[in-house]
Amino acid sequence: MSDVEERGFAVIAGAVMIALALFMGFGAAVVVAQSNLIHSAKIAQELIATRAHEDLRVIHNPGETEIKIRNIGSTPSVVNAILLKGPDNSLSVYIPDKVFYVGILENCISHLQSAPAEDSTVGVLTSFGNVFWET
Amino acid sequence: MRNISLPRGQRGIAEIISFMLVFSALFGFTAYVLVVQGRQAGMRASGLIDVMRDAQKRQNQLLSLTYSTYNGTTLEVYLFNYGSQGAEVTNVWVDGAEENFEFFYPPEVGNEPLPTEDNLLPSHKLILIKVHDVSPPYSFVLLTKSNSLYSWAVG
Repeated sequence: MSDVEERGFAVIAGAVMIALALFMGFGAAVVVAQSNLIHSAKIAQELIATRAHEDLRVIHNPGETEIKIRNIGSTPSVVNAILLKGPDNSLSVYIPDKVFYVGILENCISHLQSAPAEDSTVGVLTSFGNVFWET
Repeated sequence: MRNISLPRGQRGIAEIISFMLVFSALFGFTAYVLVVQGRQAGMRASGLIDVMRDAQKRQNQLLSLTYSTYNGTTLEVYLFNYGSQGAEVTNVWVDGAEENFEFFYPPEVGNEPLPTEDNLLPSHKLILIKVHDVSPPYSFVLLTKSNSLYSWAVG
């Protein structure tokens, strides 16, 4: 094989190698994106499944600031906000200074800044977006 | 038949010229195929990656209807995003009709709700959406910028 031919083959082989590297790069990017998608789908499914296992019992005596929360579900809960539903169905939100955690079969006590009106209903909003109203 | 033979020196030049012609044609064709195919593959790959990224974004937007109330003219819907990705709302339909809407931070006890700066449902935040001048509603549908469609019975 002459020098010119060898150089020609080398150029073509180089081009093929570059093309292969590009294809492999694209393939790797697609695989990474797919893996991220599968991971987030799994997390979303887990969140939705766990959400269904949340169950809190909220106890509030009229005229008191104290709210008792008992976790009767099969998953721990994080309370993000306390909701107050007025007699006209309007909603007010009380966001505690920090979110609080209620373990399975554990009790937790929270305090409002002031006692809500007698005919209002107290509820708690969890980090899974569930709302549990006082019973 | 006449046997045409070139002088030795000219024959060498003709061989080199013909090789160069064949080589450039072959190289040009190969380069063209690789560039075109590579570009198409790149476009397909980036299109596929964009589709997967959008799907991933949608999966991380998990909206929950916390509370809704209707006072005769205005529908108030409280939504909580328990996903890790904020959701930007682009359209709202009440009972099948597209409506204008306003976003508010939910009112704290004794205060009025404050309007938000954008139509975003941030991760782990409660947001109030108000829709004015609607008849008694039974369905509330919203569309996010990443093309997620959510539907709830309200009222």
